[in-house]
Amino acid sequence: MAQFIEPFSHFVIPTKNINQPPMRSPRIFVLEPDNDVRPLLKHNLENWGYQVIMALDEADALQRIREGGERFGLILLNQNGRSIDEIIAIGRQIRQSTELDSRAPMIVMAERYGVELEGQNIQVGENEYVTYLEDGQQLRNLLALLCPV
Amino acid sequence: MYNSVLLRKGLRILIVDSNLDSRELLAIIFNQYGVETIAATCISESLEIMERIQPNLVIGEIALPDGDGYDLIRKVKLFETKYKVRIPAIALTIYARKSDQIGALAAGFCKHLSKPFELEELIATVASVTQEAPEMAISA
Repeated sequence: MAQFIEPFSHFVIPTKNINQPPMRSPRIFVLEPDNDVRPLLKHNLENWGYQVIMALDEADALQRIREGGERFGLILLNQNGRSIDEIIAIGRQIRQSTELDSRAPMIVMAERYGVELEGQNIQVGENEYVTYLEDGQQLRNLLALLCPV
Repeated sequence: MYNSVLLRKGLRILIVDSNLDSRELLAIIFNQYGVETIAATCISESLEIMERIQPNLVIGEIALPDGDGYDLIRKVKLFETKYKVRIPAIALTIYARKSDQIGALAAGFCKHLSKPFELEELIATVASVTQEAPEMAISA
């Protein structure tokens, strides 16, 4: 059973990402294994004003980071059959692979949850969040909060 | 009828569903609210209708005969870009798994409702997506 990382007793939600250069669209790194969803999610994120780097899986993600050497302001991960712990560990590995963005916020889109969690965004670690989507606007709002355009 | 004051006047809903019973049921429900509905059985038909009558909202199945809901939402997004309009879309579908819901929301559907649906939830959802989005919060 998936175990949440111990929640922080207090936390600060950043109002802007200090790693982003001024006057430039924030860049989001996305791990989305679903072939149907991936292009549409990219389209949505771009419409919301983000530059998007898409990865198919963990190996692809790490390869892209190694090859690209680019900075990004946020990591967005689809749980996609893994436990929350596993997907967060993957996100941390991605984040640690790029020294410049070691504090980039990470969002996991959870895929198994009850109605009691719907609509919630829960912080599970430093700059690490699990979103239990109730609607599409929730993701947009959370992105805007953690990685403003 | 529930919460009739919730639905916006002049609302025009495009229903995309290959199932006749679903189309008729939705038309009956929304007609009771004074909401105009237009029904399409597939994606290609829905595109023809959208070109003629710009809807305020699309309610679509994920399971469709000439594609799937992802194809549908892709077309809706292209339509939005082409005509510089916003047309929210709700997935009302037999695909009821949570992963289906996340996929639909990530793909651009505003909401995901599974069949069989609750009437009150459907009406509340239609009301919410055709109005301004509520504020959000983060909890620990």
